[in-house]
Amino acid sequence: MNASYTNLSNLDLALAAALILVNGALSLALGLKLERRLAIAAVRTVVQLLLVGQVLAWVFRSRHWYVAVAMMTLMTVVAGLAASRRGQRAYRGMRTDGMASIWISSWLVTAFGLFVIIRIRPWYEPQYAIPILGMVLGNALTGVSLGLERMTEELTSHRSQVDLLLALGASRWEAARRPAVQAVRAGMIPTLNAMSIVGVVSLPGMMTGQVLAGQSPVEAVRYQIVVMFLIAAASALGTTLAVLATYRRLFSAEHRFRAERLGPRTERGTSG
Amino acid sequence: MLLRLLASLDAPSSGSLTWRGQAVTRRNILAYRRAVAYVAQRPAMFDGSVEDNLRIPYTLAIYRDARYDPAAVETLLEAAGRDARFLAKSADELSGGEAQITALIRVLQLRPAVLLLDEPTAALDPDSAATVEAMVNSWFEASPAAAFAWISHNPSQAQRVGNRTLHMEAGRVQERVQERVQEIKPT
Repeated sequence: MNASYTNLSNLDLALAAALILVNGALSLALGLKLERRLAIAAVRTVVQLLLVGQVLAWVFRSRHWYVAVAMMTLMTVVAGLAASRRGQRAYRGMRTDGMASIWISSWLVTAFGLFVIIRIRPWYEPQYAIPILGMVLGNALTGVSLGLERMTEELTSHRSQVDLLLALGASRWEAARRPAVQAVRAGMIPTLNAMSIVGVVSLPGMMTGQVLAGQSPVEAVRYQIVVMFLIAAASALGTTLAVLATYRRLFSAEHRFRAERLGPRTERGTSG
Repeated sequence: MLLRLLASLDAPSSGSLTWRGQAVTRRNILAYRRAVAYVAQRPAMFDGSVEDNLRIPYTLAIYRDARYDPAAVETLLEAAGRDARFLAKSADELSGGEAQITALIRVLQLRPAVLLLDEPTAALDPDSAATVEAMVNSWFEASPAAAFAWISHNPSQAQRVGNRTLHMEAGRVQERVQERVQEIKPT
């Protein structure tokens, strides 16, 4: 890409991997008993990333739209499944709600970024579509899982207040509004924090990558700005969708709070 | 459980709920819950003062025709043996008895047609229990169209506060009772 770019050899990687010995030595010296997990984590890092590199290289070369779309679908499903794994409480259908919120929000927002802002050609250009969807997914995942966790938690701990409002004659939305607002706020705050410190405290990975690859920082930050706004929109949209989906499942049209649907998480991830 | 069903907070597994000759449906259920006030054994309180809690109902759409009435609240406070300073108390500092009194004022100020009391004095000391009984009594005597249902585990209290006592023992009897009270009409 640029003359100043340095490729890394296997020896370079081995030198970097040797740094894990720092962690190992600390674990032994302090009795952390983390040696086994350190070794496994180190091997996973190397194997997973080398594999992903091969897969992405193949996807980028293939020039078929369905290969790119299949890859993006796989990424979305993995993120969607992870979205409902947080928290102590679960309800039947939570996994579906998490998946749908992640899918709709990140694909809509990524489509806007790719087709309206960056205007990639061909429309599935994997070099753009896959990394941008990946960044959007990661942040939508944080928002959705925080939102789901907070909503189920608020409804559990404030059940008597919800019931009180309903008993007084509140509509189901009036009764659920406080928990829902708390949940959407909880889901959006990480993005807001990231937006206010970006570039000052942290240099985002994408920008760093572009700069390392020889791109001028002035250009790299322009992409980063676009990505920050895509991330903000996707996590807000995803969090709101997830909280509304929870609300629809746990409140009936007769304005009843179906608390019996909300239970402690079972091993399968949803309550029976 | 029976009262939660009557307050239509829980859906009946069979049968239906009728109010003044009309089935309670999703269209009229909010008006029904306004007319039929339910008071739980341990009433929920929101952050803020007692007065903040008394104003909570007026934030709901169903009460948009009503206004918080300090004079009415003062009358109810008097019946409970409290004065206006009680309104400034923080809700999280209330004793069980004070919370129950607050919850009763919160619904009585709204002039419901029917009051559903779910063991309202079960967790209270005798003094507070007597106050709650007196408040319900004076509300009942002052409102000619009113009715109330009071769940109690205390037979002498049941004799004292009620005109008609229904005994409930496990499933079978409970079913019979539910049939009898499905249709509540103000007397």
